[in-house]
Amino acid sequence: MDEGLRIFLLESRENLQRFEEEIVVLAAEPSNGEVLRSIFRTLHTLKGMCGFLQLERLGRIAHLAEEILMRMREGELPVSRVAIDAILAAVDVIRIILDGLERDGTEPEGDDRSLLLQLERAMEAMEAKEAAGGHASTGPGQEALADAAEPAFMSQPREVTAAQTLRVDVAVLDRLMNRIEELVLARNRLSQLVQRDEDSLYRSPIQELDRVTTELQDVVMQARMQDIAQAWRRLPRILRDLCQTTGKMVDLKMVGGETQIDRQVLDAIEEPFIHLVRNSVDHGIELAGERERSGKRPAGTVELRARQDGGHIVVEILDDGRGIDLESVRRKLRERPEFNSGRVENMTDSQLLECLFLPGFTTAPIVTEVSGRGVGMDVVRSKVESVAGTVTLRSTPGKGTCVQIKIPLTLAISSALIVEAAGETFAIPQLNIQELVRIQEEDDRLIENVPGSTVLRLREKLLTLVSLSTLLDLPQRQDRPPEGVVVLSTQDTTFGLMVDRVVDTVEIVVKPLGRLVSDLVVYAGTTVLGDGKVIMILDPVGLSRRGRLDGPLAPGSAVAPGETVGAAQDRMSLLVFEDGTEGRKAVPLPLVTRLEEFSPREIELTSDRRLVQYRGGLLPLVSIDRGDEGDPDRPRPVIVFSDGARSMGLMVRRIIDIVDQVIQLDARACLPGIAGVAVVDGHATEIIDMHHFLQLADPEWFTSQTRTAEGELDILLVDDSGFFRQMLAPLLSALGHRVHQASHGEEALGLLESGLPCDLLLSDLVMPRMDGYELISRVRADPRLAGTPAIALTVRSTSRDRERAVQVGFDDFLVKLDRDAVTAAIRHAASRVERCVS
Amino acid sequence: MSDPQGREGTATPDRRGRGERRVEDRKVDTDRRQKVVDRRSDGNESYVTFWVGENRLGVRADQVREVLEARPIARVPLAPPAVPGLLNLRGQIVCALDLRILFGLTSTGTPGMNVVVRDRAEVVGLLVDRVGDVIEVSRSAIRPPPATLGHPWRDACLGVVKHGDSGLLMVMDIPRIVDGADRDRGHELG
Repeated sequence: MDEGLRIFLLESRENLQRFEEEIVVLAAEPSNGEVLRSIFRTLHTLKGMCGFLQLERLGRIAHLAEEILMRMREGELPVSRVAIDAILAAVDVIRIILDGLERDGTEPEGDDRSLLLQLERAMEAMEAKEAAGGHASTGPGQEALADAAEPAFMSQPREVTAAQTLRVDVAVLDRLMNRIEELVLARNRLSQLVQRDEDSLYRSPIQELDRVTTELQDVVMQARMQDIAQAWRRLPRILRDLCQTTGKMVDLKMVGGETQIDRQVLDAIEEPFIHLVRNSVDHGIELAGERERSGKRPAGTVELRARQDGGHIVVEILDDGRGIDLESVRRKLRERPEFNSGRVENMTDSQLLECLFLPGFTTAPIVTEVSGRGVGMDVVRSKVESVAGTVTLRSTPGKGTCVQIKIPLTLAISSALIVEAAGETFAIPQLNIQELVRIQEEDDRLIENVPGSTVLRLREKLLTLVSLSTLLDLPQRQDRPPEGVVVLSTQDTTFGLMVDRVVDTVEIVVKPLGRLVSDLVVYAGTTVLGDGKVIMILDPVGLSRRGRLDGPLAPGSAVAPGETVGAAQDRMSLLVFEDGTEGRKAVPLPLVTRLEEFSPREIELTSDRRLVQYRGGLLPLVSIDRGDEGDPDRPRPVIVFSDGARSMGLMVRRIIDIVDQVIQLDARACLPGIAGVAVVDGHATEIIDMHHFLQLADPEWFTSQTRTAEGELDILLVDDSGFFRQMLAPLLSALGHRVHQASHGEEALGLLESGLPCDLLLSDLVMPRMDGYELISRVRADPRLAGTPAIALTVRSTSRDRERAVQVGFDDFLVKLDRDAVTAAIRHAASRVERCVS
Repeated sequence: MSDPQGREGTATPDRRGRGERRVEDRKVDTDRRQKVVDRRSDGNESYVTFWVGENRLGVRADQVREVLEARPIARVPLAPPAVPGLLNLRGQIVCALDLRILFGLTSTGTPGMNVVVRDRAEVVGLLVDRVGDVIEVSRSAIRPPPATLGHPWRDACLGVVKHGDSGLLMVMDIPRIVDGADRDRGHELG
């Protein structure tokens, strides 16, 4: 491309950007002669260059626009809305032409007749108005001055300083930064060498070098910093267009635009700002009439506020609109297959707000229907997360909405914790570290091994622990326990990472990973330590994915990091109740048929059983406490369980809640009837073993209906969740089968290969080490095992999961804890086994 | 943008020489200058040759940035089997690719050489057993790989050349070598 043209393009783009900002300022302050002159100069320069480069199309448009501006400047024409609209329309076409020039080197074809007409009309309209006013003395913008009392836009007055600046290619700055990093490393090595020698002659010069290097580093960092207002430049124009299309009146306020931020970060967040402002105007701010009816100023306000807060930049986008209508969010959620209505009802306000970040929530008709503001919130979040930032949303119905974006000052240099695992060194970004827990020998009791996972009891909460060595397939150290737990929080989850040693906190320079290793999700990059050693930077999000600790779209887990920890597959709904004994108890909701209330008077006593008439039959009742019946007039809640034609009721004192969360079951030392203890909703809660009570209610519950046609089967139950094994194994034993257990695919395969008798394989799909899919393909590939009937177990069931499970070789697919389905499937499988044997 | 070919032709691979360069290096330089001339006149190209086991391989000299002695490699857990880790080239971190493992040979355990090559927009360090001469090959002399050449050599082999008494030289394509390592990765992506 011609060098002259290249420079022209570069300059025009910058000029045009400024031009657009200024013209919006002019619309607000029509009498601002300074801005008007600057606008005129810009366009004049552009026109001049067009003539020089023989760009005819561009020249024509620029000429007419310049004409309008010139007459405004001379005071011959007022600054009017029609004129400003026409000039902005011209800017849009100029942009298109510049794009074409950049692409092809020549002006693109196009029909500008309507634009030229618009420009001419604007001029005529102004002239007509002027003539009607009949006064030549009207200064610039007299007509619009009246509006200036309530400007449509407010922005910082532009500071016109004649600072000496030089345009530098960003790539040059990046290279400079790289070289300085190398210099830092060389300096570090020199310092280490000289440290050993007290009397070294080099000591003083190296100290000098040290000082200069550090300063140099600071200066280059500074050169990379830009005002955050750079990312806001397009907003006034966008807002103006939005106001015109929606017919709303909106003031834009921008505070703290001078806050400095790294260029790389800046690039990533410009778009989210546009999204958010657009959302505020589209869905937040009401029409003037509606605002007045609710006692607000007719013009709404959208405000951007930036400030530095420690190592972060905090930007808030506030509006004084109608806020987010949570009811419509609920309505929308119910339509999504992954939310059942019970779960939606029980969601807190903050959980509902969090759902606006769900992917795809944007396309929901809620956007146009009521007040939702889902437009691209998932996109906003992923953009902000790409620069290690976070997004949170607050809303007060009727008052407005606030979106807070928190981003690190810079990505190039960040603070990291250096840790060791299996003799290897790693860096963990400080941003994600919530706290550091040092484990001393005597603290052993704090770490507990419950089936399927390891947890740390940390201030009343159970924190799932994963070992870094295990996650990275490194050999586990046997000689001593891990020294530290790094508590990591991502937007989805909080978990503890066990490391062998915590070394130090250092400032690191993040370097990208090569293509061959870049798709390893557990790493965020690489860095070089002071001694020249290359180490990997861990990515907490990737680690949690690899450890399968992040809930799949689980709103609960995203809302309050720290409250919900553990493996995603253990998430489930529990009915929490009090039964008269101490503490809370809970039962898995899928097992419950219905909740009833019976007055104690209705309860009949026969020998040693309590019965109540229910739906034309007798319902046996049991209670955990055998004593007190309570007030005979007060009805008692009863949880009804059914199995085929049989039912039984569990009398409780009070139903507390339905809780949907991750369950870590501690199954040690439990009384009969209790499957284990877990922290539910912040309270230690006993999870009851239903089978125990079913048998209490009807000792023949299982024996009468099972062990009939089918023989006794050897069933291998594979699930990494201790909770589900605890719930399923007794059921299977009760049906008369022998149950063997394994906590992951690898263990199961080992058992099978070593000759464990197995008539039926029941396997979870998502497990560590070897998942259900791989397990079944290995089983099907082994001639000795290939014929084993196998059923996949899962928490959720989508047709895609089902298809895939059957495709890889499972015979059937079941939703865990759907008692009837599990029983039926096992009967079916058993009859098949029988047939095979006979 | 200037012509990338021209840039590569004029830039010496390593002007900062720190004793890491060996005889082969300088040969690469000389040959590259020579090559610019050759390119114009006939279809000759320079190839840097090296050994992986008993196999003699060659890559186009203009794709080779430098040749270095064995140096420490930072291990990357979960990386594909043929990627032993990362190399630190004066602050630039590049992936090392062990060609013995990639081509299914057992590791000798002895440190070999690093042939640092350009792979598209990146730089990769190929670990090889031994580095040989830089040779001139006429394009017309390159024959399609023999049908007997098995996987995984075949995937990355552009053709073979008979060169002197030393038998066949396999002309390798760097992007395809690198993609081979990508293909071989396990299910460790998480």
